[in-house]
Amino acid sequence: MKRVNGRRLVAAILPAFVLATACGLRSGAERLKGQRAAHERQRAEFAKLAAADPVVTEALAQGGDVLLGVRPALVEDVLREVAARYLDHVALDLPLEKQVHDTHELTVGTFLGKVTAGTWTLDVTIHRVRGLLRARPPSVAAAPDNTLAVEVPVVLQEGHGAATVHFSWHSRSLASVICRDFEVTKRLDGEVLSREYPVSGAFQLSAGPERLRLEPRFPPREFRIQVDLTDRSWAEVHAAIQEQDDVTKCGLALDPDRLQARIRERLHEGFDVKLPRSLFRPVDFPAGVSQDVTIQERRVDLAVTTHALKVTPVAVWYGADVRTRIQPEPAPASRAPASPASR
Amino acid sequence: MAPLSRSITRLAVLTLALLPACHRQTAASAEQAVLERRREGLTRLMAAARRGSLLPFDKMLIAVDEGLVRQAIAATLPFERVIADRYRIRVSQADVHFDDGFGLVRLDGEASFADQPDTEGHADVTVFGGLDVVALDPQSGVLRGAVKIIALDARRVTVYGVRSSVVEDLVEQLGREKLDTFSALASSIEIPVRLERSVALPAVGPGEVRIEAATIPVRAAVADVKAFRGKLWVSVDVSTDAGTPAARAVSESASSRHSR
Repeated sequence: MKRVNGRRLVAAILPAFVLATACGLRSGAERLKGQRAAHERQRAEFAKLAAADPVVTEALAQGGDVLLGVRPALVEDVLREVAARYLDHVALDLPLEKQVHDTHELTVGTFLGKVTAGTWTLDVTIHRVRGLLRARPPSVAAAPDNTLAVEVPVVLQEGHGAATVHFSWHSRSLASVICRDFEVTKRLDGEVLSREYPVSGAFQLSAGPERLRLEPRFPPREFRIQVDLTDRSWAEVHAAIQEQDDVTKCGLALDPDRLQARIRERLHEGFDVKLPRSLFRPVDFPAGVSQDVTIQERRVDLAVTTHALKVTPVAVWYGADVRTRIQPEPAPASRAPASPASR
Repeated sequence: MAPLSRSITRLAVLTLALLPACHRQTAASAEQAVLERRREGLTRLMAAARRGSLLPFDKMLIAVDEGLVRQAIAATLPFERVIADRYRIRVSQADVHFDDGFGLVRLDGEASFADQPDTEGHADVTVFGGLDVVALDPQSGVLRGAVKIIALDARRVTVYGVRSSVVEDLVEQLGREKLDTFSALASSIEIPVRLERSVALPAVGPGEVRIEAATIPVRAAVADVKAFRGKLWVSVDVSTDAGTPAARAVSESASSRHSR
């Protein structure tokens, strides 16, 4: 057998071994094959995990090239901020011309027995009310037909207005012999009693070309406003009745304090007004799909169409289909060497 | 010189001479690099799924289909870039896959020496990139992804079975370049989702109701990015309160994810 030179053997094998190791050739193909198989196993395992995830399942069911999912809590946050920063100081100026009417017969005891002395009539006209509304934090819940049900307490913080009070006294039968009729008309200042009103409605979700919009849907509803007169106006009313409080005007029957209490009671019963619809405004949600993107310093115009809009207890889902508006440029046949300017 | 020293010297010379061949990116090594990224991505996805937080969804979730990004990149094709002042690369095809926890961007084209007409010879190249960082642009509010090149496959092109020395040289030199050199081919991709920085509410009145105009500041930051089932899933922290953690700088969140 021929003797092999040890040094030559080392010189021949060692570089090959080092090179094979450096290049990763030792087990390259087998290792890659094994990694591919392991990767497929991982994929199958992950597919099961993803399929069991409720958010993934619901999101994939919506479709669309772009999908925005918004938790109801975020919508509530936005509406809460709208209430806190926007609806915290709403000035109302309502031309009402609302009437409050009351009438009452008065009887007095005479030596002939009880007789109807007359009838007093009260007409209060509230010409206009100016007031300040403040919305408290709303509560939001998913509702059918892609709406979000909203409950928002609204506080009528302060209000005042002009009122005309007309008081008349008409003597009846025997009393008219000694009692004279009279009428008093006073232009007075009124004030609105502070009160919280629960306002219920909804925001309808609509999808424009680029973004989500919350459109208010608050059905017309009347709210009872209670009014009173200012202290100064009450003093004027009191003085006016007091002025009539003598025998010739059957003043014995017209107890100013009782009459004033009666008028106040009647005003406190209030009257109904409708809150103007302009109080509730559409809110554009601060997220949407862009009409263009810049890729490789080139603007690509996009056509965006709504694919789906759905409100579920999990989220508000807005899906959009997006298509590019430009076609790829045709490739030229051959090219000259690139100049630096082309970089 | 002793016999052993001569052997070592020969070995060193031989190894150094052959090392460039090892550094050259081949189809197999590119596949290996992509496969490794996919396996890493899948491992992270499965860990998140087992923790019950596959998709963090506290406020807002955005899902973008790979077909849309593919289409948007395709609309910019073909394009040319000169890389490292030496190579002209013309990208003619693009593919995007959002799967296995990783956004793969594949660009195919031709490379030639920038100072020679491409008729002198060119090589087919495929660049593989990973959509690594997704963040909201602080100015425009647009969702933007940055692509990091993870592999390059340069292949010789023969004309009528004849190998060109120019092409051989080109493939060798392309293979020696650092991957970052090719970043200019796919550095940034905008995703067509915009988050406004405020909600503007117009003034109302004069009339029965008067409300002053208001602006509600909105803070948004990308909290998590995942890629699977053909979608890029982006979880966004959105807050209308300036003091919340969601207000943190976009760059912070982007860099932290990039360093993972």
